[in-house]
Amino acid sequence: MKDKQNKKSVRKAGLLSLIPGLGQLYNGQLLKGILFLLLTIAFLLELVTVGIPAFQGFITLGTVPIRDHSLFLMVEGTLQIIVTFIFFMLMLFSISDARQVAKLWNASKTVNTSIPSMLKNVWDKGFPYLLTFPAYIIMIFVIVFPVLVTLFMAFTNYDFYHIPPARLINWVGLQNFFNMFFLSSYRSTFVTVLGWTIIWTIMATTCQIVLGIITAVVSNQDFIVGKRIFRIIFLLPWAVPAFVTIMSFSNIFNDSIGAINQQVLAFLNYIPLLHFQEIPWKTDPFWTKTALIMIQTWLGFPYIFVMVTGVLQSIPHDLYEAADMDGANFLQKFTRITLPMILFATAPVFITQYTFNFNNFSIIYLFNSGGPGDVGGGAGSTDILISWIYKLTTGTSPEYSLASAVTIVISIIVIGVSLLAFKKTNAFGNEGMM
Amino acid sequence: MRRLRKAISALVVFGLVMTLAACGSSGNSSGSTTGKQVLTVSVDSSNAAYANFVNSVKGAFEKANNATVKVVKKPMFDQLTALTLDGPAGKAPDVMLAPYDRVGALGQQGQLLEVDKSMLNFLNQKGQQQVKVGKKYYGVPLTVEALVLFYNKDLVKKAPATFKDLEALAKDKRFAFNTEPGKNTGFLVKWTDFYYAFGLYAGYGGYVFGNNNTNSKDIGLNNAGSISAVTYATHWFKDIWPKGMQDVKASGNFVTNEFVKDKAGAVIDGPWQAAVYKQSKINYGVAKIPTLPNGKEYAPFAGGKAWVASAYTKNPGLAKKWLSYVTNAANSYKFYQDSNEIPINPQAQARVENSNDLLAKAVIKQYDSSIPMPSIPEMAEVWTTMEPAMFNAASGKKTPKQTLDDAVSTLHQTIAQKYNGK
Amino acid sequence: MRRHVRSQRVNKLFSRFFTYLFLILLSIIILYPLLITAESAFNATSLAAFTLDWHIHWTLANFNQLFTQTLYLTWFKNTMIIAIFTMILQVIIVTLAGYTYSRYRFKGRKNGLIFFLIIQMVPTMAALTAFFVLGLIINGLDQYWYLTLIYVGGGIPMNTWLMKGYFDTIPRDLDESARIDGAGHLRILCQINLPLAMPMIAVQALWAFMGPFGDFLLAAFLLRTPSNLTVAVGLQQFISNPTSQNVSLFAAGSFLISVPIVILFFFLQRFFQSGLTAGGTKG
Repeated sequence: MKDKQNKKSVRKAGLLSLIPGLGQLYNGQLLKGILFLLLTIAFLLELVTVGIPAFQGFITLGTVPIRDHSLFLMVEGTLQIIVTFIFFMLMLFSISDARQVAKLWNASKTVNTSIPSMLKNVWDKGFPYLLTFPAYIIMIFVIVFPVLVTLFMAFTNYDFYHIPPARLINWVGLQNFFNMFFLSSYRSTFVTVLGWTIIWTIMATTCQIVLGIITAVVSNQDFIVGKRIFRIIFLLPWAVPAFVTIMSFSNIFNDSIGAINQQVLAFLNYIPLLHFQEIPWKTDPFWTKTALIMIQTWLGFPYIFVMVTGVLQSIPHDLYEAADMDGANFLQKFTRITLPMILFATAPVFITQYTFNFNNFSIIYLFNSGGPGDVGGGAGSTDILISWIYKLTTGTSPEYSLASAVTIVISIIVIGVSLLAFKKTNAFGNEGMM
Repeated sequence: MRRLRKAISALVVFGLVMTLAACGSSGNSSGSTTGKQVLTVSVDSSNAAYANFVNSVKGAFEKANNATVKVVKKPMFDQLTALTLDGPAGKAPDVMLAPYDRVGALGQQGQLLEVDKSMLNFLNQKGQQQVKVGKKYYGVPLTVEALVLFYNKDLVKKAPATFKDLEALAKDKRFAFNTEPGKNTGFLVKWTDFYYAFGLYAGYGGYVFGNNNTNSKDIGLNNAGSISAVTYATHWFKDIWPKGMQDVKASGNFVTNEFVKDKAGAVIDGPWQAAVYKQSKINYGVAKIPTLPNGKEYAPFAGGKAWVASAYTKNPGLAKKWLSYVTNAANSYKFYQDSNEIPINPQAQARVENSNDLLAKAVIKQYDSSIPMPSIPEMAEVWTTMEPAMFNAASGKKTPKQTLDDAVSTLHQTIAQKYNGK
Repeated sequence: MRRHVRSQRVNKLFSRFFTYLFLILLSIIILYPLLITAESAFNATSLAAFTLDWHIHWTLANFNQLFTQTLYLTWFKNTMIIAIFTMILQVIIVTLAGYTYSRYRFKGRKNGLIFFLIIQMVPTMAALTAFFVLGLIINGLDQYWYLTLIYVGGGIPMNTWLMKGYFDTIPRDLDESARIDGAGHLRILCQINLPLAMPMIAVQALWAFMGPFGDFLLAAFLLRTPSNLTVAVGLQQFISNPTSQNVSLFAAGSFLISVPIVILFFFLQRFFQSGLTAGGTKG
């Protein structure tokens, strides 16, 4: 027995929701409708007072120097784009919600019009959204927003000749991306630098991951006396700011008076059958690279170590007990049980470690300024891609827009590779477990 | 459980507030002005002497101009970097100190207030050039700075006067470097750094840019003079110094370390190092840098600091008055007394020369043979490009001519691509 | 049989020997360079150390100067406030989000987080400018809450993934049986999953806490008043000017940064001791 009054047009509900709230009111959901309408009104007010000028400013990037600050206008415009985008999401949600509720009416299912039942519905169906909502809002403003600004900057002429507000910034289209191919004259340099960047990324990250996992597994054994002390020592390279330790390492590796050559190698030479020459750590590119990888391993492994130590707790003891019964040795238990469990939980973090080192230019810069010597084209022999780019484009005569363009291009490559890696490691694909 | 629910709802509300806050733009209200003009002066926070100086001289200025001087402390370089954003946002100080090599770039970018040439009349041409960009002036010079020779009085009786003396020092057994046979640390200088090496280039006839450092198309860093300069430096790196001196990053620390441990007789370094030597209780003497083997003067870059005003200041008149006030003879001498930085003001400098401050005297003498740093933006490329050049020659990777030719052709290329048409 | 037991015992001894050898060697490798760095902090002269040398003039003067002549203690207090709030906020957000991603399926679930995880790989050189202007608009400059939010936001994507991965390893049959017993969303989360996730929550807490202590860049841009600075920014001042560096003061201050982190880690380690078995048995 369908009550005619409760028939709702799905189409109409959807269309009305183009103004979020109206569709909900039409469906008889008073509270939801008013809430949505209030949000709509707030947005419209914001749009009229702040939004439209912001859009205008974003398009022109200012017309009068000093009065208009092009950079501020661009950032404000970006914020307005984000706010507008959020409103559109609300609109889409409102439309789909109104249509669904209308269908519910038509199917004569119960529709929550009273306030308590609506809240309960939100609690049940919207639970996952409620839990992730704050995360999304913060991420939009903290992560997406600066990336958008970087992206927009790549299409302007923001450089040392155009520092606002004394001068205006203008949109220049793809100009920077064309200019970037001036790098073509540095092609051989580019290939060399890219080669080392890849070796660096793979070696440094793999070493720190391997050492981190080994340390975590070894120090997790029950019989160890003073476990807590060891764990705290292993945390130290990370707890002391890297800035100061890298500067210290720069001295420690000095060829002539550094501790490695003067004390460590000298000490090792006391051991029978061992004899080390002094190693040209800071004056031979090969050894500087070796030193860099060692230092990054030292700096980076505690992070992995702490994480894996946490993960190890989630491996049920009975798995090991069963393996013991079957007579498995330590190595077998490690490769069959421990490692897969670690990788299962942490693969995405490992991948982001690789991208971190790909862009890790502070260690390159602080240890030996990208030296010793150069490989032409302004690149030092240990410069990685990002530190080379920064050398070319920043400093006291910065070219922010060009640097942004290069950043964007490099990022696209990095993102492509990591997406592939994510896919291969099946980092996102453990849905089978559900 | 109830607590968690509360926490969640609090978070949701919080998120909403955050969004709304982001939407509604709440302009920050500017402080109301009460008749008196306020001048905000930023001083470096790393040295208490700067703030003390400003506090001690501000009274007379406040009275004379019916103004209030507000002192804020922030590291000089951070302050200058922040100016680009702070200025337009109305949060920048009105006046501050800047090293000469930053004045050029900042002025050219429109960050600094232009000053009238008449305010610089008390200076000679060279002094005025420190704050000059194109035809405009962006600040009032305050101090002078130049590399000098420090020597250990306990080990070296008389200040070395020529590089021949230094080479003799480098044959002295007392300075032999034990772990690398045949090497010696009698005299050290951080020549892997172009700032330190430039004096050598200039002494042999090299230069950075033509037309008094204004023509970026004419680069003199691979002319015959520059090549002999690098060839001479290579002699030290290869035949005398331990390998660690080729270390681009740590060789500065290397030099200081050897000097304060009585293992080096003489070093070339900046006047700022005196404090470190004093701390280490080294009985050091200061002198002008010895003359080069070709008989010419070592001609380092002329450094120092200028008082500059922000282009965003609301009181340009007052700011300019401050610039003139703090750089006058009496105040720049007072500044010297507080901070040991040597005034550029001729009258104040004369007073310093009459004192028995040997370091100051040496710096003033050295400053006379020094060359102002190029103020055109292209200079930024020179620092990065020249850094590996010395290493390439020192390590024998390339001949001095090769390394300089390569560096200069890179410079030409970069400058053509980056600066042309702008 | 007997021989087997004996060889097992020998094996055990061997493995213990190598375990300790490894732990001790690694400890030396870690402590040695740190001691050299510490040497700078305890040295009477502001010299950067090259080798481990016991004959230097050991002194606490640098620490004394840090406490009496600089705002170090104020900076430290500021950083603690920011770090604690960052830790609390981030742990709550990341745990809830990670749990949701692991246990619920909903629209936009997968792509949403992948999107942020990927986007976050872009090195945003314009971030400083962007945050500055945003701060100007919402009056967040020189404010701790603004900085805290940025720290929290930056850590969300990766840590959420990690948390999700961890929740994925917690057997789901526990949830199921609880649900059959009539437990609601919150009870399943709080009483079953949260206790089991404590090791990873501890890791998250540590990471979030450490962030503000190491950030030299962002804080320097967004905090303006000297008495509002964080430790890292304050310390940076001692070495920002190449002609007036005070390496000793910088090294001394940097070392103290590790103290609260080590203390926190010491207490959090409790959560690493108890394994999964503490929470409940697997079906």
